[in-house]
Amino acid sequence: MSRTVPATFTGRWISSPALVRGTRTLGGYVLALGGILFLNYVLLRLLPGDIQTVIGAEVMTRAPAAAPGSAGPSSLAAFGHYLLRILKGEWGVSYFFHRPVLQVIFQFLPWSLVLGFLSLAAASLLGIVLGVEAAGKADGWLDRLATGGAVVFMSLPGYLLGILLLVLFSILLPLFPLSGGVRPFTPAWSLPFFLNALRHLALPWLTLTLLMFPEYYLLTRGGMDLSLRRPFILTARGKGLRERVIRYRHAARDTLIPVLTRVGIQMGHLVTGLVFVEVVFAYPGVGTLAFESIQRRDILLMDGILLISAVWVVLMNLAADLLLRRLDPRVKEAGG
Amino acid sequence: MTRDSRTSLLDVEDLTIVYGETPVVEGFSLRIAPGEVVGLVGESGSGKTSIGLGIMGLCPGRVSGRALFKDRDLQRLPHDELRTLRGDRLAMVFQDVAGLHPTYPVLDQVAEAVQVHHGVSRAEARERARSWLVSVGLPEEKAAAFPHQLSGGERQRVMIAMATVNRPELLILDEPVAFQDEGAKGDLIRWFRATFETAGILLITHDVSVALRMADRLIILCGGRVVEEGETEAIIREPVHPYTRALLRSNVALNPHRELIRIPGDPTRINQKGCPFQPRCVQAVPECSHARPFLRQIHGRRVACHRGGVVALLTARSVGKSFSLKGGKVEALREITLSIHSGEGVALMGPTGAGKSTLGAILTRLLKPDTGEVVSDFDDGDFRRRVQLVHQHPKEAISPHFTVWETVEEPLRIVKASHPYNDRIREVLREVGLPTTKDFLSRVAHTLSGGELKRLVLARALVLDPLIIVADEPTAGIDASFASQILRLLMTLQETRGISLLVITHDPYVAQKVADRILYLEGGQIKKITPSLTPVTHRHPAPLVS
Amino acid sequence: MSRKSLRLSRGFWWGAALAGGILLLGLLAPWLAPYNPWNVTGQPFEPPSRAHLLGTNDAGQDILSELFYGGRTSLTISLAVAALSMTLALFVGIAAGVSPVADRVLMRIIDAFLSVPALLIFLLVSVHFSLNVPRLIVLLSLLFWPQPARMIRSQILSTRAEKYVEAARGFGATTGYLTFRHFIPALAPVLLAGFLTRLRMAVFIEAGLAFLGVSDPTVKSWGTMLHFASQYLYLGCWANWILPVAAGIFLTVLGYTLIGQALQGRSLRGEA
Repeated sequence: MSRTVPATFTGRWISSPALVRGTRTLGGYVLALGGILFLNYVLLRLLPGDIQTVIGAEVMTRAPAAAPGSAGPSSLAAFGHYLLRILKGEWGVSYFFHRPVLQVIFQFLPWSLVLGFLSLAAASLLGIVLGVEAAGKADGWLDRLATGGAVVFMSLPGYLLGILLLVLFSILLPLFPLSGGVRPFTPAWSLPFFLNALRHLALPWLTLTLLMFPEYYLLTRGGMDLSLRRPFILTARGKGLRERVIRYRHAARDTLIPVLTRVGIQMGHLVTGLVFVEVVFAYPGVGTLAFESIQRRDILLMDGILLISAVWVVLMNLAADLLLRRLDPRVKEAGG
Repeated sequence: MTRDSRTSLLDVEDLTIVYGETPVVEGFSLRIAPGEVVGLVGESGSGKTSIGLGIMGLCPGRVSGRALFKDRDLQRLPHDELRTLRGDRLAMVFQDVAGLHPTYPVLDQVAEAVQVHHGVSRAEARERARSWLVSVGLPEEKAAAFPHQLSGGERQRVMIAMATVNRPELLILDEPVAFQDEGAKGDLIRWFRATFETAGILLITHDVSVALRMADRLIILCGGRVVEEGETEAIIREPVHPYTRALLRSNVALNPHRELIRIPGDPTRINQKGCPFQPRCVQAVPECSHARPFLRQIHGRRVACHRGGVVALLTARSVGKSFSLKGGKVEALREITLSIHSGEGVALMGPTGAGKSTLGAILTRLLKPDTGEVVSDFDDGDFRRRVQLVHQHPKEAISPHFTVWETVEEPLRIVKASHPYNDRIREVLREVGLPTTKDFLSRVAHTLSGGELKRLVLARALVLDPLIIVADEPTAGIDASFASQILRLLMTLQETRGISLLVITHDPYVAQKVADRILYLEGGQIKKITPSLTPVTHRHPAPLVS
Repeated sequence: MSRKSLRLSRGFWWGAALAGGILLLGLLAPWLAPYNPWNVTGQPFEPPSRAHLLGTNDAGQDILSELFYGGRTSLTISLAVAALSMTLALFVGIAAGVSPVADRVLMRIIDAFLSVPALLIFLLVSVHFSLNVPRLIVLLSLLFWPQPARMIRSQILSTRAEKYVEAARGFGATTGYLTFRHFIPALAPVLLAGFLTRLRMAVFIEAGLAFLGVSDPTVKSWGTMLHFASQYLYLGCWANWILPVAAGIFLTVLGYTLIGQALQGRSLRGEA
C-alpha cells in the first residue's frame, strides 16, 4: 500500500513527491474546494452585520428562512444555502461595479489567462529544453549560463523583477509601455488592438517567464543527470539511436513526469506571480482587480476572485494528474 | 594466424580498457569467425562486460587497441557510421534487465530498433517487432505490456528481441539467460544457436555451464587478462590454468555431487605486475608476482601460467610393492601410476585389502616401493613437511605419554622449525576447532575423546604447513554427524589453504563429496578413474526441469 | 568530478557568506544606521549626499537607515516563519508517513491548503485584520507548512520502501524505532531544502505584501520601502531608493538559493 513509488525512484527525493502524489482522488479536490468555500463563508459571517448589509453579503450568507439568533442547525442550513448559491453561479453583486461578481471577473479573466498561459508555456518550454540540453555537460557554457541565470532569477521576487524590467525597458530605454493592457480607445478585435495588446503584454510576460523558468530548469536538469545514467540509456545507445533521440525521447520522457506534475503544483504560485506582476504593470487582469477590490473593500468581488483562483488551481492539478497517469503507466496502477 | 583474416568477422587486437587509472582489461585479443560462438568466462569484475561494451563503442572508460568488424576499425569509425552499425549489424544484449524504458510498451521499444535502421512505417516496424518477440518466446498478449508488468525472465527476452530483431551479423550476449529457469535456459540457448547459425556470437557469462552448452571456444578471463583459451570440451574436461579449474570447481551445475569449493581469496585483489591470479593462487612461485605470464600452447590450448598450469605435486610412476608372508610373496600393488595436482582432491577407493593403505604409505614415503618411484614437485628435504599422513586410528598414532601440546609440538621439533612454536600450535588447534586453554594444552592426549583425538592428529599434520594431506579412512567407524564435521573440516582446509587431499576411503559417497577424481583400486591395480566434474547438461540434454 | 564538487561547495560558501553577512547587518542595524529611520532628518526626495548616503524618501527619512532596519524586519519574519512552518511540517509529515489512517486525512487537508493561492488569502484576511508582524508570522507559517509536509511524508514513504527498512522490520523493529533510526536521519536534505525554500518564500511574500500595501505600513521593511518608492518611479529616484532595496532582497535570497543549490547538487550526486 505504501509502496506507490517504484524501487528505482526511491532515492530521488526531488521527484518522488510528485510521483507519490499521483495517486490523488477526485474526492481530494472536492474536499479542497469545500474547505475554501467554508473559509470564505466564515470570513463573511465574521464581518459586522451592518457591513454585511452594505456590501450585500447578507443575501449570500443568511438562509432565507433562518430564525434569528438560532444556533447550529440553522448555521449549517445557512452554509448550505450559501453553497447552493455559489453552485448556481449567484456570487453576489460587486459593491464597486454594481454588477454581478462573476460578470466582473469574466471581464478581466481573459487578460490574465492569456498572460498566465503564455508565460507558463514559455517558462516550462525554456526550462525543460535548457535542462535537457545542459544535463550531462557539467561545466559546459550552456550549463553555466542556464544554472547561473536560474539562480539569479530564483532570487528575485516577481514585483522586484517587474520593477527592474520596467525601469530598464520603459524608463531608461522607452521600448515598451509603462502600464496597462492596451492603449485606450483602440477599436476592439482589430489588428492594431492585438499588436498594441502584445506590446503591453511583452514585459509582464517576460517577467513571469523569467520568474518561473528556474524551477523547471533545475528540476529537469537534476532529473536528466540521473536519467542519463540509468540502464535504459545504454540500451538506447546499443540500438543505435541518435543522441538527440536518446536525450529527448528516452531520458527526458523519464524526467519530465515529475516536472510536468510540478507544472500543476505551481499553479498557486502562478496566481501569486500574476497578482504581483499585474499590479506592477497595472495590467487589466484579475490580479489587479483583486488588489484594487481589496483597496475598495469590495469583499464579495474579492471572494469571487479567491474562489475562481481556487477552482483554477484545482482544475490544473487535476489536469496534471491526468497527464501523469497517461505518461507513466506505473502510476496508473499504483493509483488503482 | 591460423585463420584467414577474410573469414573472420570480428578481429580484436590488443584491446586495453582503463577506468581512471585502473586498467580493467589489458591486451585482449579475440577472433570470431561467422557461425562461431566464443564464450568469455570469468568472475564478476573480471572485465568481461567492459570488453563487450568496448567492442560496441559504448564503454565509458578509455579504450585503446583495435577492434575490426569485417575489416572496419570500430574504434576509429566516425561516430555516426558506428551508430548505424550498432543495433543493426552489430548488437549487444545487455545484462541489466532494468535496461528497458519504464514508460513505453515493450513492443514500441523493439519496434524502435527496427525503425531506426530500416525506413519502414511504424506499423510495419511494430508488426516485425511483434512476431520477433513471439519467436523469442514472449507470449503475444504481453507484447503491449509495460516493462514493470513483466517478470525478470520476460524482460530479458525483450532485451534479447531488441538486440536481435535486425538479425545482426555479430551478436554480443552479456549473461543472456541469467534470469531464466533451467528449461527456458536450454530453449533460449537452442534458439540462439539455430537463429544465428551464420552469425558470430560473443557470449559473456560467469556461468561456465551456460558457456559449455553454447560456446565452441572458451576464453577464460581473470583480472582483465586472458589466462586460458581453447576448445570448450577440452577446457571443461581438463582445465589447465589454476584459475580455470577453480572457476569450474565453484560451479554448481558442473559439480552435482562434489562439495563446491569457492575460489579462495579476494577477487578484487589482482596482481597488476605479474599474474593476475597470483594473490589467490595456491601454487604461485615468486616469479608469478612480478613477471607477467604470456599465453603459450599447452595441451592443445593456450594458457598463461608460469608453472604451465596446475602442477602435479606428487607423482607415482609404475609403483609396485609385494609383501612376503608365510605362504610366499603377496603382490599388494602393481604398476600404479598416478599424480596428485596442487589443490586437488583425490579419492582412493576400493574394497578392504585392495592395497589402499599401502599405496598411501608409499605416497607419503613411509614405505619404499619395490619398483617404480614417487617424485614430488618440491625438494626432497622438504618432503616430510609438505606431505602429511593422517592416520585412521588417532589413538595409535599418538604417544600415550604426550600432552596435547607435546603432540602438536613434535613435528616442529623434529624438523627443527624456528621458534616460537606457541602461536603456530594455538593457531592450528583453533583451525581444527580445539580449545587452546592452558588446561587443555597440558592434558594427556589419550584422555581426550575420540572426536578430539581425530582433530588433534589433523592439527599435528597441519602444523608444518603441508601441501598434501593423505587422510586414511577419515570417516570410518564414526557416526554421521561427526563424520560430516571431519569432512567439512577437510574441505575447509582445502578451500582456505589450497591443500591437496588424498582421501583413502571405502565409502563412495564420501569420495564423491571430496574428490575431483576418484581412483578405484582393486587387486593392487587402478581399475578406473572417474572425474567428479560432470557437466550435468551433457549427461541430460533435456532440461532438468520441464 | 572533484572539480565539480569544488565548484558546488564554493557556491555553498558564497551563499553562507551572503546570508550570514546580511544577518549580521540586520542584527547590528541600531549601531550601523546613521539615523533613526522614523525621524525626519531631511527634505523629501533628497538625492544622495554625504549626510544621507542614499538620500531621503518621500517623508524626508534617511533611506540607508531604513534599509538596515527594513532588513531586520525581513530577516526576523523569514526566520521565524521558516522555523515555525518547518516544525509544523515535520510533525504532520511524520504522522502522515507513519500512519496510513492519518495519511489519508492529512493529505486531503494538505491538498486543500495547496489549492488556495496564499496571496489571495492574505489579501482577504487583511480586509478583516491589520497584518502586524506577529500575525504575519503566524499566518505565513500556517500557509507554508503543507508543501514541506508533503515532501517529508514522501521521503518517509520512500525510505519505508527501502530494503534496509524492510530488513529492520524483519528483525521486529517498531514504528518508533524506524522513525528515529531510519526515517528522521533520511529527512535531513528535505528539511534543509524545505527550510531554505521557506526562508526565500517568506522574504518574497513579506516584502510583496508590504509592497502591495496590505501589511502594516508603519513597520519599516524592505516591502514598505518598495511600496512607497514605486509610487514615485517617474521622479527618477529609483536609483538610490529602489535599487538598494532590490539589492538587499536579491542578495539575501541569493544567499539562500546558493546554499540550497549546493546541498541539492550534493545529494543528487550522492544518490546516483
